[in-house]
Amino acid sequence: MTESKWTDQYDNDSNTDRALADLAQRLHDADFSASRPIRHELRQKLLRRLDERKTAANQGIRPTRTLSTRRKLAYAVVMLGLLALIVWSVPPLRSFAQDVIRTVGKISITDAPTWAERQIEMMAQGTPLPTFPPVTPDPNWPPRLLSLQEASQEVGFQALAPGYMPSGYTLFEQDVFTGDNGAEVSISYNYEATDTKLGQAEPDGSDFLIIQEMRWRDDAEESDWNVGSADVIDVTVRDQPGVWVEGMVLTIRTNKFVISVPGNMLLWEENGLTFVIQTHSLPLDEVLKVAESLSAHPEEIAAQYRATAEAAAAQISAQIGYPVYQPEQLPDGYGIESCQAATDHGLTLVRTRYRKRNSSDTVDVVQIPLDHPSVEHLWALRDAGQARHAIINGEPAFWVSMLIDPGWLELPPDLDLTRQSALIWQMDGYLFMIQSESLPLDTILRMGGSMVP
Amino acid sequence: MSEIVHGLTNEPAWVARAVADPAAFAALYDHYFPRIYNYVRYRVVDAPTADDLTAQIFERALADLASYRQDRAPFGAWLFGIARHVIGDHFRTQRRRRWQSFEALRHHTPADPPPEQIAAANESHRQLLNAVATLRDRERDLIALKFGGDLTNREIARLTGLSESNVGVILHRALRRLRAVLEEDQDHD
Repeated sequence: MTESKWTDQYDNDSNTDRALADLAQRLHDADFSASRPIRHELRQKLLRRLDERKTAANQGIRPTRTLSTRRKLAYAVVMLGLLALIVWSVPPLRSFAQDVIRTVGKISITDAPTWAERQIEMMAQGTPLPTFPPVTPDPNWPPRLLSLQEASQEVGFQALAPGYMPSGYTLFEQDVFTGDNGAEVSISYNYEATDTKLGQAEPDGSDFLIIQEMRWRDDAEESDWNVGSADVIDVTVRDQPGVWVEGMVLTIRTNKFVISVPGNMLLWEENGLTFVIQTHSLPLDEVLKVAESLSAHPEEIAAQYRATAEAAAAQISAQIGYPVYQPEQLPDGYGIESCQAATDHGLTLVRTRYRKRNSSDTVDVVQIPLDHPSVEHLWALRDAGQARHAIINGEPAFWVSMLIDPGWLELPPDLDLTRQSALIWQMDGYLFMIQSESLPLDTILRMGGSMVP
Repeated sequence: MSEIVHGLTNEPAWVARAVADPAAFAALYDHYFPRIYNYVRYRVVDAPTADDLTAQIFERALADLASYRQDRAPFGAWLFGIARHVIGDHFRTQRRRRWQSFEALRHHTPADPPPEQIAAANESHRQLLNAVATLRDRERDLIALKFGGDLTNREIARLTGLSESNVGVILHRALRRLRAVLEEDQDHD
């Protein structure tokens, strides 16, 4: 290459810099797009869409992102009875009782069977089942992750967000929906917990937690939500009367599969809004904690929880009889979220979780007494040559990048060791593991070097 | 389309028209498709994923075009902002969906796919993509913006929040690292 646009930047007449300039030119010249058919296909598709939009505009039709459209496609659509009313045109199997047992806003909770319960009933009767809704790729995937301010502006009321979320749950959707015929407008938060699964049948079906905040139009008709044989319990939420539905059979549709699983639901009304929290496995006390933490300023609530977590670390230290180590140097924006102790093989392990502000990124510090049997397995990882070696405060450490199965390591499953990378070393009679999905090794090393009791 | 010469002269006018004028949108698409596609291709491991993400980027751009404001950012910066957002979401989604079995741990499956899974148009592309895949996330993003997206260091600095000089330093280091990887690759061949 004699002359190129990169010459000025990378070529200083040395062979090294000339090689870099050549490489820069090579990177720039590589055109991966030319041979891809998508170039033409996508162009046609977009232009068609623009034409349709133009036509709709000329006809005075405003395209909207409706709840019904999004829900068919978006993650974790809970088909609470809605489909049951529509799909079942087959002869009735038996007379289902359908009493309204509670009302929350425009939602009537009935004891009619849920969609899944009716399906089970039909199978028992030998009745041919209707075609199950196909799972199609979601063209709107990934869903939007609006800020609280954006969501509030779009939805037209001050949305609340949780300042507390149980460990392991990460937010991946914060979006606004308009109901069919504009009956309601709602903001929906979708959380996913990858370390808790829906069931053996769906290996990538993570646990979920959905928070909905709805404002109904005054003339909107009431909507039946069937909970079947689930327990319905009156509770107090945020000083309001609420309803806890436990053990109902939820049918969940994700962008990959449809599954029926047991689930729980908390509903209440507050300031003219209807709040619904749905979850697969969280019990009432945890869901109540989430509900009570809903705030227009969730950061303030989260700060209170952090202070509580720091106090918990001190308390755990006092309980277990040995000091809990914590890093003096945390990455920018990170703060303590929780500190938990678990007893296993007669030994106490401690996990402290730190979370980045306004983010789902976390880093865990796990402290394990050297007598614990899992320590042997961890050394085996190092000795198998799968590790990168490092030094922390003069002690040898190693960095592994793989999935770590708590079962294999004989650790309690709730320790959430299914992360990809971990820095492991021994110090003061303990084995330490620092795990993060996103932080680079140098940042983890700085954390490790600053650990103090 | 005779108004189009090399690049897009008077791009703001094309953008303003593109909201309702298919010809104007087509002009923008034709101009930006290779840059966006090549940017995406440097960021992800396989061509079908790059196809899918590129489609998402342009679909989102079309959907949001009416809300785009020229006084806030040039159109290219806005479009690459969408691209970075879509790719970020993609990686987050991958993390959520990734699940490996107990067996995978015992046999140690590396995080990156084997090179033979990386499809490329030719051997040179394959080498480049393999080498780029060894970079850290931020280096890979900057290399992709610089050489795939054909952005200046100043434009990259605005997009990423880094200083312009920092962008230059990171790119320089990344290039040196790439060159070392490519040389090692050649030695093995």
